[in-house]
Amino acid sequence: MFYPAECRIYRRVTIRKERLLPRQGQVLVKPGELVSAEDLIGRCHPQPRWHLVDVARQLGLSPEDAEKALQKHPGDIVEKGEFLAVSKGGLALFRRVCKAPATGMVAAYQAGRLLIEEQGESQDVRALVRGRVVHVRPGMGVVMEVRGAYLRGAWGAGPSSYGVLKVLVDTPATPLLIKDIDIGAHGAVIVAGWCADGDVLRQAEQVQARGIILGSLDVSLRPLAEKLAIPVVITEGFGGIPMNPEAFDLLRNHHGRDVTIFTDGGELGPEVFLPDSLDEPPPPPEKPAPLKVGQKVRIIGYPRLGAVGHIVEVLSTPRRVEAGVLYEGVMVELDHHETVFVPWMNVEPIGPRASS
Amino acid sequence: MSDSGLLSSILAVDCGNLFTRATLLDVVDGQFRLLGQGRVLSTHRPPAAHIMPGVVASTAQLEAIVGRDLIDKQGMLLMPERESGQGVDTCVVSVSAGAPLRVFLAGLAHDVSLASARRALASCPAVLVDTLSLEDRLDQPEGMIRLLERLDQAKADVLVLVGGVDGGASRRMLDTAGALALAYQVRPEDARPLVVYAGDAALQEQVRAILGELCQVRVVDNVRPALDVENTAPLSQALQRLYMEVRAEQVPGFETLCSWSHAEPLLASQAMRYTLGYLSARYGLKAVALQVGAGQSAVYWASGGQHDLVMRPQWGLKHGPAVAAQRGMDMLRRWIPEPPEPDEAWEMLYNLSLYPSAVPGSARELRLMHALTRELTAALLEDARPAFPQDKDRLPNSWDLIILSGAVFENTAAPGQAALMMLDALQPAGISTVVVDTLSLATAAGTIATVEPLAAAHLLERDAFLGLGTIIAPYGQGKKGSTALRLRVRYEDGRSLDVEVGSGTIEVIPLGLGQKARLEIRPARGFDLGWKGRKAVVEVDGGTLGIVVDARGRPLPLEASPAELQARVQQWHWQIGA
Repeated sequence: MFYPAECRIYRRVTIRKERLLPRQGQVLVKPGELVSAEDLIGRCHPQPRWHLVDVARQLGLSPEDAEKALQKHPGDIVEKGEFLAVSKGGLALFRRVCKAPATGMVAAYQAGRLLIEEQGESQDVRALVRGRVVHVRPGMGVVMEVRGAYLRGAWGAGPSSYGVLKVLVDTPATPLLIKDIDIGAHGAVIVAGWCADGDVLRQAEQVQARGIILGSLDVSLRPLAEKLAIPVVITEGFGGIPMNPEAFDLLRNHHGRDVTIFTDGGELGPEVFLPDSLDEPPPPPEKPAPLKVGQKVRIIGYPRLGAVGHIVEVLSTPRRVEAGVLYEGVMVELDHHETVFVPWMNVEPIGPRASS
Repeated sequence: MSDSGLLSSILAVDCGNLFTRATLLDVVDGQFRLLGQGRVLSTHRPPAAHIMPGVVASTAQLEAIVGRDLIDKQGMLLMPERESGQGVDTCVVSVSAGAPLRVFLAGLAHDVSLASARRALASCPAVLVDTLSLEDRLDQPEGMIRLLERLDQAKADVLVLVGGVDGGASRRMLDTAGALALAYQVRPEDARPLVVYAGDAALQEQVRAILGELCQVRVVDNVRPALDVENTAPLSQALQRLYMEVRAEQVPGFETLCSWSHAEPLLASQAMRYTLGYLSARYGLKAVALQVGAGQSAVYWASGGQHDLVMRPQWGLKHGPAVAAQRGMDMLRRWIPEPPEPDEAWEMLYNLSLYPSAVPGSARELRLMHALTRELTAALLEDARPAFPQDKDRLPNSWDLIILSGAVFENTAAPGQAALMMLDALQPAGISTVVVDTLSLATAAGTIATVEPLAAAHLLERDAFLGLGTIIAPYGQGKKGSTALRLRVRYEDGRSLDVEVGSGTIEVIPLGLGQKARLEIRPARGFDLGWKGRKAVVEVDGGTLGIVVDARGRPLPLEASPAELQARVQQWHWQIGA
């Protein structure tokens, strides 16, 4: 009766993806518009450069008197060197002035101090994935509907990206080697079983690959992966774990087609979208439901992390695992025909669910 | 509803970060009893991103267990209970799902008001994202511009402003408020964290005047009204209320769930605190609870009418890499008789963090998780210990009741594993009863107490806890090979057993669940159980483990070469049956 919450692999699904601008800005698309990965969806203001001007101190006035001396106020645009405030009274020769340190906008004033906001070049924001805009949040971003295949990785790092998918190995257990990465990886999101060599990751970055999808990564390479300019996604975990066959098969079927990696999911893990031009919209992700006999599942716990099989029996009594603890669970026939006991907590459905 | 018009059936829903549980109580033979519990993974995160599918699924699971309809076809609760016996009379809700409150702390002195504010935060589901003090020189352009960047990076839900004693010097406090006002003016309105002011009471109106037009300002009593007086409760309570408000906005379905509840939904930590307070007050106990979850952990304690807690969000079993980084991987590995190599340990910890709902399948993984539990609990206890109640008549760190809460204590290969984790982390002294909070019913009891205290009392007395047994842990140290204690165990059936326990060892004496025994205890020279080394006679409870005499000494002898310590830890595991 256990309800697993999440399915990570879908061959056909409609997923809604929120694409927020990094900072407040302008949304350039409308609901209903079809966009491709490279299309602009918005433009946002860059991180401003701030200048604080202590008017009261520069003019030798109290905050109250400094306010009276202001010549520019919040909302005003100022040029560099322009007077912000001038002390009044006495000879003109001896008047004190306070000048703008940069061109920008007076953003705020409080107790004798002014903040000037110097704007830089605005930043373009692209869709990164092919889909339809279904909702616009003015100034903030959009919600897109993407149809196709989808998988959620276990861990990811680096920026979100898109490119052409290139599966570089024949089996999900084959490691990524330096010889696999040549100029053909330029602009591609490359796929392999696992990786234990930091030079391989650096090589992928050097040839300007657009991303790397692996089953697993040696744990010592985690810090390096976090520093790369391209995204790294692992589907299973850390170590030398092969990619689960279901994910590998899905990616291989999309070899040469568009792929998008989003790494903004936080602890939920990175997302890999494989958009398709489907006339019939596939169903949305399924709601939690009890697992049943026949359901295809992935194992998410030791000692068989990443193995795939299907449920052949739902057990009514708990069983002891190798660790000695009793758990309720299911018998899973793995793809190589071995049948094993797996606690409920260590299985995850691969959609769609069994209907039996 | 019972004939007397009192409540009879009660549904308690707890939405945790990992699990959502639905627990049903009803009156059986005049007593409230646990009928069943449904438990599913919580659904507040994507892809469902709504709290209710998990609530409905756990309730549906409960329906199947108890053979009774609780929700209708539209997914709404059948309430009150129908004459046919379907539905429930009332429903109560506790919540810990959702991210902790992100708090930006601003104040004057690190070791005065800011220290008090940090202690107030320790009892809330809140993480401190940044701290601003006088050292940050907001009067200088660099300090002010850095503040703008820090506010941007912090993405705080709330800014807590503290500083000054009541009626003290005001300029610096008002300067800080002014600097914040300047920074807030240049932020979009929806990116200005709400301000909770808990500083100098004489400046409340001035602070409101400076910040009130820019953002919502809530004022509570000063956390440090005088240099030698600390008052953290009002700030803690304000933050707990805020957590519920913020999460109500951010967790879809929270409002619907609230509509199920007959009482105001409680924070799960608050419910647990009530339970401990009740047990302490009702039975005159000094009690402590260690709670270890996937996403957070907490220590609760209660004694003499006082109860409190220290919690750390983002300090749970899924944060193993962070715990190992902070405590040191060798500190974790020292608890494992045959420890994995550091690389393997890091790999397992990272993978555990990727799949927080998965359970350990291999013995190596289970041992590592138990080691992690010891260290994350020990760290939490370092925060909590200064606030523990002190009693001159008792041994330091002695407790009548120790509650272990969380799946890591529940799902063990042997009861000795749970007991040893607790003994290593808490290192209690004296005589304690140890229980495991099975099915998280202690939290449910705290929530139920808000509508039907009797039901909560019945639940706690009968169904909530699984007794592990009694711990006898003398304070002191002895020479290796010497005797630490002599015991005569007199069983209820008249049998008796004489036991001599060696210094540095653990001895388990059988005493089954539901059984009692009288013990005559004679500590050897250098050991004390709270009677200044004299002989004592006590009655103790049995449990799934029995009577555990922990004569390893306090503090635990952990100073040794790695090989020696490894051998010692292995012995302890064998001796307790872990």
